Amino acid sequence: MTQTERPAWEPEALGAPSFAVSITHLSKSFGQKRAVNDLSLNIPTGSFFGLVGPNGAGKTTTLNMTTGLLMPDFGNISILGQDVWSDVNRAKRSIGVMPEAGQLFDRLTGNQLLVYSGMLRGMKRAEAIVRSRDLLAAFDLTAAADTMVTDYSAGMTKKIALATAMIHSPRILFLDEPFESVDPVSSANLRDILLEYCETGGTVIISSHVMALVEKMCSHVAVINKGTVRAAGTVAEVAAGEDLEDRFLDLVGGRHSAAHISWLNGGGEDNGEGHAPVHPSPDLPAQFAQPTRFAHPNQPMVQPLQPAQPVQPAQPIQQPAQQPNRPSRPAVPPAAPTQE
Amino acid sequence: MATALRIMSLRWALTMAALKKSAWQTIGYVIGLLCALACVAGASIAFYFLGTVPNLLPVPFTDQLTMGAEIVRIVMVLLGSIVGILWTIMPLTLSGDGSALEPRRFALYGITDRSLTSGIILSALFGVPALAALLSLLIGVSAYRQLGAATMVTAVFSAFIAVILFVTVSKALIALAGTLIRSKRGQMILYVSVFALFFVALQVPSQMLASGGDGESSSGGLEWVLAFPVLSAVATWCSWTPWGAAFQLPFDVAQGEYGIFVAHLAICCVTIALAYVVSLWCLRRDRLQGADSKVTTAKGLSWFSRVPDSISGAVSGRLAQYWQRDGRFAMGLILPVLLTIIFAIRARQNPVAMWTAPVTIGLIYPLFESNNLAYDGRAFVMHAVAGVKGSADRWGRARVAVAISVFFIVVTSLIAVFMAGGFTQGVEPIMTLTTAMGGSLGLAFAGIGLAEVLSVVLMYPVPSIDKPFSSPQGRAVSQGFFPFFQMIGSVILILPTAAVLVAALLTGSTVLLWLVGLVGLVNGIGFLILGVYLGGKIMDRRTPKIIETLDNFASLQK
Repeated sequence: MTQTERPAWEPEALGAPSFAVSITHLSKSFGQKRAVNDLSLNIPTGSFFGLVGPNGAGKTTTLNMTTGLLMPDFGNISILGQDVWSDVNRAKRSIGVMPEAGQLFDRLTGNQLLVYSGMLRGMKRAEAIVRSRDLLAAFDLTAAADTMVTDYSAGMTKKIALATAMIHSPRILFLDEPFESVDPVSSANLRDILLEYCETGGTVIISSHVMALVEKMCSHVAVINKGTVRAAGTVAEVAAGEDLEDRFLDLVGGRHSAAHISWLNGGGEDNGEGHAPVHPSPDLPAQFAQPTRFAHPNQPMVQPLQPAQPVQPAQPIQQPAQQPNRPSRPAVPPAAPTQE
Repeated sequence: MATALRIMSLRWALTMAALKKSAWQTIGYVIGLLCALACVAGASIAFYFLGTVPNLLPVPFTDQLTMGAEIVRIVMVLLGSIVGILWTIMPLTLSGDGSALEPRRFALYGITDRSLTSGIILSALFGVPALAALLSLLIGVSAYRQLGAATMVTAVFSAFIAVILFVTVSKALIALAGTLIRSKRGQMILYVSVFALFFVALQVPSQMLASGGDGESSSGGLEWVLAFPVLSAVATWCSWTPWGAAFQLPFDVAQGEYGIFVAHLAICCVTIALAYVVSLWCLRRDRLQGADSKVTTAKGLSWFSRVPDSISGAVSGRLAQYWQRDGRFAMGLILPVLLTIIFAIRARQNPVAMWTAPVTIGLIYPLFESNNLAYDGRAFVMHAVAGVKGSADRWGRARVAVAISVFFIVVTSLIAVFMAGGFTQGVEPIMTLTTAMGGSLGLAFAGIGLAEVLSVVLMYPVPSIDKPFSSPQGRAVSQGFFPFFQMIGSVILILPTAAVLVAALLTGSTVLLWLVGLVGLVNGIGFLILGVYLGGKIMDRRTPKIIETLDNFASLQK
């Protein structure tokens, strides 16, 4: 969006520098569908910001426009006080965006991919090599440094993708579902890296569906639904004394009481409506033709764990200072949807 | 069978949906349809006139067939076999599997392998190419109109058999390649062997003709008369292959050779059955065994340590690495080598012919560059999020394309010089070398410059990197269409050099001839720089649109 397209009534000042990202009146339509509808949001510098919302709420669309990958129809976005779309490449160099798994050059080895990601940002090769080594070590990928990324597991791919977004030490990190399909150990390590990055003044913006995770990690949260911000602020402010997930369901709506699908009966007794095709269809392959035998209800499906070895006392994963709850961040101003 | 029919209707629903979504797809599709109609019309007319031949030459040839009827037989069987070979083998190397029905997508529905295979074959049978071929052959029954009603009825029957056979065999071969050939080395071997086979097949008729008219160097009617028994023998030989058998059926009836008719029919049926079983086996193997889980490792930075330490250098390094690891680029490396070999064989008698090799490579090579972003696929987002300037991206890619084309052109040019006797004959070989090499390099550079612009504007879907033999929907139609712009454009851009060459040849001026190489280089480098600059500018502006397009392509590949 160029400067000239900004409407006359828009104030000249584009978001104070205390905001890492400032979005005003952002709109985007795909054909008839309005994905983002007059969305305004300020994201404070140094915050760990969670963007939550149901599927199709406009989270990814908003993030794509903020990171310069999708042209807005209308509205302004500034990053660290600079308009994104007036010099989109400059804005991109100050941020790090985690690519999706399918958006990596996955025929490169992990090491090559990181060096590439650094050099693409104008970094000298020698520096990129050093940083790649550090990142591989930090993400427990040193052993996989010379393996092609296409042969990585989903969790490893996520980690290398995150590393590509961090190699140039950006001031803001944009992560779309960063913990999806990452195992608990890697996820805890990832979290440490991100929290430490925040401590040093970086801003992390994640989108997620997992409320528990957002509640645990984020300092701030914005609930997005139908292309607009329904609530934004610190996690405590948005939760307003409730559980964040309950609050989210209140704000977003769409919960209906105990939906009953008459024909979905798990193969138990026939509901008498003549619809339940308990018998396998003749088109099914032979191995499905026999009704599968599940464990008898009286038999436990899983054997209880035998305490063969004494259980190790749990190691504290994070620094004690950050336990048990996320400390509040007084240095950070509360986020709120910008007022007109 | 009901499932198979439903799969077939799904295929058309997918096509319609793709058309609804994009104007380009629709245009491409309409052009494809027009081409198909033109083919049908052309074939129909040709077959009609072929049908008049038996009357023109009522001379008896064998006991049952006249000379004219034998000509019809030779044409039908030979042409049918050539089309059949093209149809069944070429998809392996060039166009890939044209259908959007990836069996893996049906994995969750518990459809039997048998229904799924039948469905996929059926949907290919009701695709545009198969229908066009069937229509041509059915109208083409007029070619048999002087050979009796029974022959014509058999021809209708054989038209169906031939189309079904080609479709099933083509599907089976693609499935087999996709299932068995997972490594890039395997792909290379397949490409080379298919091309070698193809090349030999193309050489056979001309070699036969040459031996048929032996001693008689003068061309003309006499040679053809002498060649006639040879062609007749070749046709008979072809009729015993799966590609020619179906086309022989009407003539077996015309000759009253019902035993041989049954034998030919058996060849067709066995081939179809075998192809079906092979498709089924591949499907089952893919479903049960899944993909190979071979982990590839490579030490160090490889290409990244050999490129300039800059953004464009990084792009070059990545691309060079992909040329090495990406199976889809294999053809780009093999084709120049094969072209060189083919031209070298053809140039044994006349060494000047070898000079067509560098020129052809200069013309064809930029084609591989003209759709470079589509080969990146969604990974292009990495460039976008890094804020890579369009000019750096374009220059990084152009560098690799220039390096590869320079290598091939210089090598083929030197081969041409040595085939003509090396540098021993004074200044003339050097002049030919500079002229041809300079001109070819100019052609390649100008083409690459054009490609750097076209690849940002006119993208078309490519196979996914994991399945180089499959092709996304809508590709076959639009692909025959966009590279055309690249070829024509290259030729137009090199016109200044061509003008100097023509002037040199007309005036016989050696000075002008010496100049051709220089003008070619300047011409090419000029357009290369312009292309990189313009392509970069357009790319900067179009990045969001490019990402959207590449996302669409990715959804076609799944």
